[in-house]
Amino acid sequence: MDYTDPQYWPTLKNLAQTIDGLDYFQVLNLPQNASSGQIRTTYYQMARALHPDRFFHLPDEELKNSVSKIYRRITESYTILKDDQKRAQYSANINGPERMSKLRFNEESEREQKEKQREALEVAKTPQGKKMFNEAVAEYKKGNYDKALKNLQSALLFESGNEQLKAFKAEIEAKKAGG
Amino acid sequence: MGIDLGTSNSCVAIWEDGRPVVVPNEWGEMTHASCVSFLEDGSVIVGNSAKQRIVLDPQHTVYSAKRLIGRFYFSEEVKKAQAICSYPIVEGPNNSVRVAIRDAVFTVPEVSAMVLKEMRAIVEQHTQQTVTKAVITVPAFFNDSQRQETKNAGRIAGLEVLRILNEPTAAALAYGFGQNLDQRVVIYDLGGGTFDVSILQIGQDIFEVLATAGDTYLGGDDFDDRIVQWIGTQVEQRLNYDIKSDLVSLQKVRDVSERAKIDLVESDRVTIHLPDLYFDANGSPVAFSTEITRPQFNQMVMDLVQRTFKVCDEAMQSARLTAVDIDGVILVGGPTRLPIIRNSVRHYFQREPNVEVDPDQVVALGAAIQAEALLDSATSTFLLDVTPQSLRLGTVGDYTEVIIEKNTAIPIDRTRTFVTAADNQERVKIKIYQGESRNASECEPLGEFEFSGLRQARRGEVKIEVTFEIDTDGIVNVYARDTETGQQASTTITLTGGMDEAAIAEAAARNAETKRADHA
Repeated sequence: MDYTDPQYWPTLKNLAQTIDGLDYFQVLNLPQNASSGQIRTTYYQMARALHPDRFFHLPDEELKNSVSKIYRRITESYTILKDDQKRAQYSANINGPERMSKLRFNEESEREQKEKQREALEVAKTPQGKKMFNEAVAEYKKGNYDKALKNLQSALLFESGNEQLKAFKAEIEAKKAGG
Repeated sequence: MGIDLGTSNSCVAIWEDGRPVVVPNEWGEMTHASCVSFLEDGSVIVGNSAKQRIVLDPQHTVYSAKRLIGRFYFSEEVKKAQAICSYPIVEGPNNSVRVAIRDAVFTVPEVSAMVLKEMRAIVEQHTQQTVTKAVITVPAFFNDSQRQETKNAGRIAGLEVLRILNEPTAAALAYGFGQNLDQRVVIYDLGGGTFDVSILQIGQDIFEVLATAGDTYLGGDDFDDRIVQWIGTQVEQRLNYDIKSDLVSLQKVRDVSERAKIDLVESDRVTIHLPDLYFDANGSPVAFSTEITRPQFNQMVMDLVQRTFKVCDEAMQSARLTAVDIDGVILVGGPTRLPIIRNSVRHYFQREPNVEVDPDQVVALGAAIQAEALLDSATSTFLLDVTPQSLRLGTVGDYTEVIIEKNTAIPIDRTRTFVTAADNQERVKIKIYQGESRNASECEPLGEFEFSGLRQARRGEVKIEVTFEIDTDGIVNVYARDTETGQQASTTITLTGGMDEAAIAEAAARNAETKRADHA
């Protein structure tokens, strides 16, 4: 199919609007049990049909933006599905209860997301508490649980009633105990 | 046209009678020194005749500008360049780099634009037609700022830049175009100032880059420098003279060193003779002679050669491949003619490297093919390239997290959602980086983005979805919208040494006025 033919342009523009509602298998039009060879072959076929370079010489900017968006989702689908580990995680995500919010794979692990929430909330309130807390987060990220706990203990000296600091401390202790 | 804008030399090719051809200048030269000499009357000499002027007029002749493009003034690379370049490299606004020539100050893209303008003049002289559309190549490992500034150079030269294309990818395209190959190839690209290695899967009209790695500060110039240092030590011992204190004699030594390196491709030993290395207190010329053998040279550069293979290791690991999985090795760049490189490549990849392609011209040829493929709907080749370095977002405590991993296929975009942390917060600021370290200080900062005009609401109620896009040029675009209202936030980019639209327009006007000197 030659998508540069004007008869397909409305379809492409429409697809660009709705593509975020599709999972990666649907983007590539493949069953969830497709082999890695099939994924690559399909990616190549789609590149031949929908690579933005094919549309480069056309004047319609809206069409080109649509094609660019579709093609970026094709690349994304291929990138995640060609990696066995990410594919396994992704397949679990889209077949789980939170399917609609997990159609696009987010490489941040849950741990990182929790950390970010903590940062956004600005857990500590005093300057010294903040400083010690940030150091605790940094040590925690490096996996130095003992140092992180020490820093948190110091932070609690400045803010003894801070429940969030206590919760974080409990979390690290649990993590440490669990190895 | 397709332009290979090199550190030391540039080359231009066009599409003619259904195939790519390199365009020679009026003297039949196929490659042109990326050198710009500014004359007193305001005109410029560009190319091989400008190169000769590095000795004659070192203060006003600019070379190796590519080593400076898209760099911050305080970076290590700029300091290194200052130590060896004879023209003044000065600080511009926002940590940018400028070149000072007499009363004028030039941005680095402006200097590169003069080289591009010369390439354009060569093509126009050859075809007797106006040519404005170009594909310009860059090292695969170039980051966003370096790509952006190269694109700006093209615009300053009055060109419509169709694509910023990776040099090894261009080389692979020239190698595999129209051949119906089904191969996995390695491109080993050692240029004048940069080293790249890319691994590609070629499947007929598809060129998929599996992985790329590089070092944007390692090239043939560094090999020359080793000979320069070696001669310098001997001059110091024998004549008690410091060549580094004298720009003119240093440049003379650099010239003979480069020639000796090239002669060592064919010969086992080369005599170096400088009849007038410098002039003594009485004004008499002092001569210096020495001899260099190939084993001596090989010893001097062994560590540089080894560094290229560390980069190869990295690319092979990223692609999860070993030497047995490779069907062909293609050498690109003049320095790959050196026997030590050929032998080491043969040893590392356990196969004879391909010598059919001309290492000086293959990149420009590939760029011309890509230009044609973009403009003509009938020509179809598809380059599925990757981003060479991870795109990162700054977090608290000078840490970063990965948004788009290195070696991810492009074009692509990823999104992150940010939540306001204060009541009635008006703006969100984010910093982005490129590099492979969790520590922000060890990554290259690309810019600071500020999204303003956020909806008035209590903290946590406004969610801003930020999209990080890498386009087909490998250039990063960032934009944000309110997830609830869908409204685009206005974006300001700061902390970038790059040129803005007004500066580009001004530079383009100055470029158009600058005349080529009649070089006899």
